[in-house]
Amino acid sequence: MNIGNTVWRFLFSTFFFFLVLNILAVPILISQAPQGGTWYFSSRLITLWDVFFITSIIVSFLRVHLLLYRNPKPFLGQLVLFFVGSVLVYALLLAFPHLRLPQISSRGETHRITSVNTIFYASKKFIWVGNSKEGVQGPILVYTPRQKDPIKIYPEGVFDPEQNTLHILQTGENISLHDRISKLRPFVLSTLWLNLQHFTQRIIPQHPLDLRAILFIGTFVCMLTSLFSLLHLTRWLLFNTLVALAVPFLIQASIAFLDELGRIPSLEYLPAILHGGTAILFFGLQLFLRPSTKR
Amino acid sequence: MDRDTRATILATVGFLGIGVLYAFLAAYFSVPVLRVGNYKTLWIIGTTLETLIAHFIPLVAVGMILATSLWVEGETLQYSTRDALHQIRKLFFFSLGVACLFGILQEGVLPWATQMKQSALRKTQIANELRDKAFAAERTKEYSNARFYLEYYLTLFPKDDQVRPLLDRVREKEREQQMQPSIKPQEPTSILKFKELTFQDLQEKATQYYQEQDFVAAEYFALMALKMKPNHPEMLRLLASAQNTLSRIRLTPDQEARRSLFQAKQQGYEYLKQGDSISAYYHFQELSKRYPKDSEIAKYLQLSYEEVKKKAFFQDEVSLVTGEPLASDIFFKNSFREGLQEFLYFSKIIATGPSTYYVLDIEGIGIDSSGKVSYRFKAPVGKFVDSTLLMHCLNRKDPNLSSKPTYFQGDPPTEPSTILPIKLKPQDLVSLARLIHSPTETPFATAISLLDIFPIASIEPMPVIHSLLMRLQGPFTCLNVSLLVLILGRMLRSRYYTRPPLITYLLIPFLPVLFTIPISLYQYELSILVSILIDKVGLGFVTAGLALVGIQGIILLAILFYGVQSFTRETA
Repeated sequence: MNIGNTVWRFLFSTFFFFLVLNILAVPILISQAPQGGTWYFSSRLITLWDVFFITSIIVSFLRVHLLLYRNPKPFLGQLVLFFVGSVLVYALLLAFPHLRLPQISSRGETHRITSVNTIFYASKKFIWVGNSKEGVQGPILVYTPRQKDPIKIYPEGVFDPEQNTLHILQTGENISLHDRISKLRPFVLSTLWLNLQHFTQRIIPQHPLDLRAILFIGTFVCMLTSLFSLLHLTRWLLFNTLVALAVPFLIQASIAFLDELGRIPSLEYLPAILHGGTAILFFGLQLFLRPSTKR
Repeated sequence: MDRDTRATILATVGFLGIGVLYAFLAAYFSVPVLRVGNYKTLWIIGTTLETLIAHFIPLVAVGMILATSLWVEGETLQYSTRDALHQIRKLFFFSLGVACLFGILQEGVLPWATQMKQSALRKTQIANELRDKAFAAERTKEYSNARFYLEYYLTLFPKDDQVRPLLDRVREKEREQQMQPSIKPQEPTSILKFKELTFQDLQEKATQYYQEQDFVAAEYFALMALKMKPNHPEMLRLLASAQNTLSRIRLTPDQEARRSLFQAKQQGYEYLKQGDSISAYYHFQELSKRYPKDSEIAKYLQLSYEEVKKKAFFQDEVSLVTGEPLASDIFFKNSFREGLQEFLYFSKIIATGPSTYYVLDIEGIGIDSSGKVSYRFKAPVGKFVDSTLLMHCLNRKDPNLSSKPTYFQGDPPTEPSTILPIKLKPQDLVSLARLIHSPTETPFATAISLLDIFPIASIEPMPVIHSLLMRLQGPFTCLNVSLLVLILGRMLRSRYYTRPPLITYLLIPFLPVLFTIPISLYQYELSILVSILIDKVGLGFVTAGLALVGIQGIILLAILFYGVQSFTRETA
């Protein structure tokens, strides 16, 4: 596979996975605010692009490594990928925070709960909402089982389509309606997302020539490039792939954990230390682990 | 069956076996916490199956990917398009078989397993309760109660041979107890069939007793006759004469006692005539304690009891079952009449037989058209009789210990306040509550048929529709995941001639957890999609189901395309 083809596949994979993550995010955003407008979804989606991009870069590096798997001389390809990847990550992470849609809230519009005059169950409460008049819902009957005073009736409330909550005007209480239809939540995913978000925030450049960000991004992409060596750890490709996939996420989890712990020397440069150290280790391994075309 | 398919099946079955072992151990060690007593085997089987089916897709995926990447004969994927299609077809039909198996497990076994688990909990608690009560009743020689508890016990546990001899013994003792009063001669003052007596009969009896100088009986029958013909001169004269004599003469203790008895019976009869069957019941019950051999009192006690059952029930009926309820936490709109909306909450619905239902901790609220609270009440317990809920719970011994609904805001919308018409049957409410709180317990077809109840109760059916659609898409997810892992396994296969180093096997225990992450994401995305389809887009069950199957079909096509492309790439 020639260098041009490798770069092209890398860029295509990055775009493809970025697109997939956007597609996956849309239903989640809609479910969080079922009556929010398209503009509202778009503006929220854009704020997530930096995290999506970091995830798609990780996966696309792995994808390209798999394509280069049989290449007996991968160093040049890796070098090119390192430069292209670094520039791409730096440029886009610099640009994404500036991409913001004007804040046009849909709060001004009239929204109402879809299930008026029927009882629904949300936030461990049975809720019944009477007919609404121009966006104000009422009366609102709330029954919370096993409470001292379980029945509460409120004259008025407002449905917030963006937060997906019912705001009781009398008390100021917000009742979340997120689990009105389904309580299903993805296993472990929220922790992964938080770690990714934390890591992305740490490496985002603050200005066009942010040396610290250059260091962080450089070591990060270098670590991703070095993952190629892990694909030759054994001759069982599934094992190698899963190990290679786990490494970046484990490092990010470590960064989040150590940052939270806070008592680590050189904490400020922790991402660079971890990524750089890992990259050196894996490139060292690459000298010994040679690609094999034999079965 | 070729060697590769056999290896894949063996690996998949192996992982399912590990899953069974894990699920069994998890269930086994949960037993002491759940205190399932005699039915722990039933509970363990139910819980094991439930856990296994919940983790079926990740387990199968791990088994398949390991088999295809490790053990399947590994010629390189240098297929021509035709051969690649042939390979993909083979993998597709294998995945289809696994998806069908999952469908059968999910819809055929899972509801059964959940019911088995719940039933084990309920049965054990009820069994212990019934046996304790039966032994206690036998000890206090309340054989009729003991027989009831044991018969009920045997309807639930017909195979318990230890209890049958006990029941036979109790029946025999009950028969002996019932025979005792009938052996003794009938009381001379008995006025059995008193209700059927005509005026003529009463007049004759009054005259007869007067002539026999039994002025107490004469007074009683004269009063009875005058109830039919209040102005009858002869009876008025006889009554006056008897009462005059009674006031002048000093009654013997026996005559005094008989007079009190007649007056007491008359009082009870008056209660019955006025429709106050509850007072009549307590009155005759008190009399029956003092005059246990009086068959007339027994008869009217029975009559008043029959009347009481139409408007109230007894605490001991409810205390019979204190175990696992059939359903918990149901809140529904009961009626809508003239601008008044009534909401009811039942904390628990329990049953003491196939058609006897009770409700614990009832709360009700009525809201008028302006949104103001019209009334609010609470009742500790209620019993379903036909389409009403009786909320007057009587204590057999002490009327003061009886319970009634307490209206702490507003007045009852209807009289009597202790009887509440209910729109839904108790069976429907139980089904509704189970469907809301534990949807997997209800078989798919039954759940669909129950969707009609939701509008009657004014409850939003969307969570249930969501759960049904997620069940519908389960086998499709299994098909897509299975096919994808088979393709990935072939692509990421081992290049070892024999087996990979032992150290690599350390990965295997982590694989089910690793696979659970993307599979749970896939299911989460589908779950959100279903929510959007039914809530935001407003599609019905059928349309949303078709849309969902269509989306799964598109994903399947993408996987097939990816598989063919991957299998042919290396020839390029």
